[in-house]
Amino acid sequence: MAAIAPDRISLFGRKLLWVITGLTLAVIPHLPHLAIWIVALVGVAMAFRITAEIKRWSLPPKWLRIIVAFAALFAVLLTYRTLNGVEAGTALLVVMAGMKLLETRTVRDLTVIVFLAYFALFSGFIYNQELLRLPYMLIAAWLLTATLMRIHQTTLSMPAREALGLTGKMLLQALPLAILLFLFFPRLPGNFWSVPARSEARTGLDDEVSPGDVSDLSISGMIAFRVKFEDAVPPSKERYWRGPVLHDFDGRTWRRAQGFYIPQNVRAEGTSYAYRVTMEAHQRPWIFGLDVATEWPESAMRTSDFQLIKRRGVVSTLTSYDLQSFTQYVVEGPLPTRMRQSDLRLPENRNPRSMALARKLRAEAPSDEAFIESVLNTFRREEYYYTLEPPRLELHSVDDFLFNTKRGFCEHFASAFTMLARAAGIPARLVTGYQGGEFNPMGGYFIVRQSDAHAWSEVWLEGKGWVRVDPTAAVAPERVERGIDAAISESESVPGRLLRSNVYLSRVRLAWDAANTFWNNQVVEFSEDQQRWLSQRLGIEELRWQTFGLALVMTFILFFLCLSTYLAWRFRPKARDPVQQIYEQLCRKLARANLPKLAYEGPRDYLSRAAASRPSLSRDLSEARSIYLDLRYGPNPMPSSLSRLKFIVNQIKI
Amino acid sequence: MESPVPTLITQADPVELIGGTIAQLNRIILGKEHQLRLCIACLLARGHLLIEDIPGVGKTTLAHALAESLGLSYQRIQFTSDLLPADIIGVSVFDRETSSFRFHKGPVFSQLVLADEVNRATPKAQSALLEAMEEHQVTVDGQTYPLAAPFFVIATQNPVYQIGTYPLPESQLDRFLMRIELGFPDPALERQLLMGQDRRDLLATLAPTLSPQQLLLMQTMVPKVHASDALLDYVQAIVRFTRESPQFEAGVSPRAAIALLRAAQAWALIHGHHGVIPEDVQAVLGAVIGHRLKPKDDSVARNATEVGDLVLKAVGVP
Repeated sequence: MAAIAPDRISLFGRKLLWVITGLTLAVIPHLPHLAIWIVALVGVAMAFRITAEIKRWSLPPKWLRIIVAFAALFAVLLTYRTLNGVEAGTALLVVMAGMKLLETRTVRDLTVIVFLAYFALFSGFIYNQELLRLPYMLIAAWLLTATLMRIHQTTLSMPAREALGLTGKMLLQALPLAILLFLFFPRLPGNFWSVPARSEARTGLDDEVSPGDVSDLSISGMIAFRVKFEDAVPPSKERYWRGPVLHDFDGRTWRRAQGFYIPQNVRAEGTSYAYRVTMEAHQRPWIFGLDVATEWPESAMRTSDFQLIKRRGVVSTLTSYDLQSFTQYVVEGPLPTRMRQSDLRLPENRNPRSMALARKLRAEAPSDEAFIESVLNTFRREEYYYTLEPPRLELHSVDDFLFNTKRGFCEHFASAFTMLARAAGIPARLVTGYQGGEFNPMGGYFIVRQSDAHAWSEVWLEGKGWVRVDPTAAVAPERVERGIDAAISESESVPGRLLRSNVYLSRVRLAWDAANTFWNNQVVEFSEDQQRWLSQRLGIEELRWQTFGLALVMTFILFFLCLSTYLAWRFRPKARDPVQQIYEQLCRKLARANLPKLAYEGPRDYLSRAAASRPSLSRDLSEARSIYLDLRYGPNPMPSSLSRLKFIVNQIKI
Repeated sequence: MESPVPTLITQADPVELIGGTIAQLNRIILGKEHQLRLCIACLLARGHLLIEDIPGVGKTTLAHALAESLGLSYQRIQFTSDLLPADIIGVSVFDRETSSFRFHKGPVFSQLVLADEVNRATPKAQSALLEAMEEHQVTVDGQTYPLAAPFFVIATQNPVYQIGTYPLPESQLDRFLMRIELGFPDPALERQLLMGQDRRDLLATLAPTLSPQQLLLMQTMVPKVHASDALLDYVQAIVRFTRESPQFEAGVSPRAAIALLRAAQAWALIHGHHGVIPEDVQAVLGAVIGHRLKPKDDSVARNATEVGDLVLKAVGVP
């Protein structure tokens, strides 16, 4: 703004600069989601409008503006294939705010743009509710409010710093009200508030796994979910977070089974763990529970292979689920026929060497258990490496891995093991999910990241049910015991290892995550439940809409009552001359008799009006009027008549 | 009060004198007493008057009746697009006998000048009149001629949306102390108008109700009407409001502030108030500032009357 000399640009132009700055700030959070042409168009509109103001060009005629606006509308429609939904909606908002610039002539137009900018700014929260974004949003909102004030000032003689200071004060004054509204504004139950699903990139585990998928995912340090246990915490080697269970194998890729199986019973044993999982948005329906979940909320269901899935939609915003799990459990038989069939099926003419190996080992082993042990022993004995950077595998992926490369991540081992088990006639399936998690002592919860992604196997053993076999544990036991940092050799880069290895950095990082978690749980996820909890703490047992609304209205009234009392006290009239005081006393008396003085009403008109409507007082009022006019406006007021006026006013009885 | 005033009061009270004039004018112009009083207040405050209204509501009749009632010499100038400054001021003519130029005084040299449809003439002709109004004298060929005293111009103007007009710019409008509208009469009064005598004949029956000397004396009394601190506070509050309110393009000038005070003083004088009271200011407010303020957009106030009303209601009496 400083680049343009103030004398070269009009008052309106300077206001316009404020508005354009504010609009830019509001649009910035949307940049990653906006089509490039929209950004360009709005930029051009801004540049044009400023230039037009400086060079005193006239603005485009109405027909041209209408054509441009409609063209932009169609372009949005073409780009997003709809005008509905979050992305198209915000795109349209931003485009139209830019187009509105082309017809800004009056302060009212500027005001409209500021309101559009507010809307655009806050719609940024639909995409991203991270704590990190909050300071930006607050500063932008502050600037926008300052802009709003600025465009309504008749001169811009107040320096920008003072204007910002004043607006900051105003916003701080509004803060208590905002907090109150946040806490008590009735949240509607149901889907009304929920954010619609977006076509945003999905993150996290997929429902099909090829060699290399999980190791690719493991490079990311992004958070998948956080878990807070209520009391008992399972040891690291039991913290398997169950995700998609894969049955169909084509020799390279594992996929979910088509159709449904008959559900099997789970007999839980040992300790139960109650906990709350807070899922980051990952645009997929599954919820990661500790293997195996025994209780889950109504919005979710457990599949026949014990995975938790949302009943409707995907996890598109940060969401919490209260779950209960047992880590010791037995699945009671028998194995449904269809499940047995699909979990034994192998593609033909694929991985022939592995098939041969499996048959050989099975023939040597006395039992299924012995076979499993011998396969795991093979992994241990021979030179298999656990690595984040496995080489690419050929068509016969398991053969390639077992006999050539011998280097792999968990999905390579799990995939090879599952295939070998099937080849040996043991029903087996691949389970994906997460393993472990980092404990944050500051918040008392676990952080599970994408780098904790894992894959393991489950085999069906007669009499024992489904048994988890984690071949990775055979190759790199540290992975399961102490996490991925310990399992990967020093020479390989693991995301965030540096951060985790330094004690101080680690503490800062955990503190930041704890702050984020607090923000997520207490602010972003503040919902009907929390509201009910809060109101119960305040002594309201049963929460009802009507009570809530009433309380809200009452609070508002109370607030404004306090405010107006304060303002009345603050701007109370200064000590006036005695004549004025007596007149005001008379006005108050008459106001009590339902004859309030209008602010602009002169004393003669007012007292005449009062006298006319109160004939009994008419004589006194007429005398008071003439004395008052003489004392206050006359050329030579007689001081003695002041006491007369006092006397009259005092004796008037309403 | 100071010396000349008591002598006049012994002769006749301004309230009485003006009351008589108003009573007489009321017979001609029906139901417009407030406008008539504004008109006389304007004259007493040594201002000039702009009447803005459609043709046929009695603008000319009013000017004529006023001249007759106050015993003033009267000239009417019909402004047209081919009117020249010389048609207003006068022209120097070569006198063959004395072999010199002799100045023929124009219509502007009468005491009451009616400039009819002032916005139909070109700016050149308009400014000739407006300069004379401002300076109370006319200079032709290096020779200065004083105008008559009292000198009072009533200009009439068609509403500006009519075709073929040169609307007066704001700076010129500021030269008029007041701007009023006459408006249509009440149905009952209109009926009286239809049934009654012809206005032209009635004009002939008018007799002067006061002398030019009395008028001049009253003019000197106006600035001496007491304006207390409390009242000046009120005037300043009004002026400040027009300057600070975002509803107007610009606030009123100090000249307008003085005009407002003078007009209020004149109003107080003809209503017998010893000092100016807020109601006096309010009575003249619309007429004095209505044409001096330009609302930023039409939704605030559409015309001068609404502007006056808006300012009146927005400023509290201190």
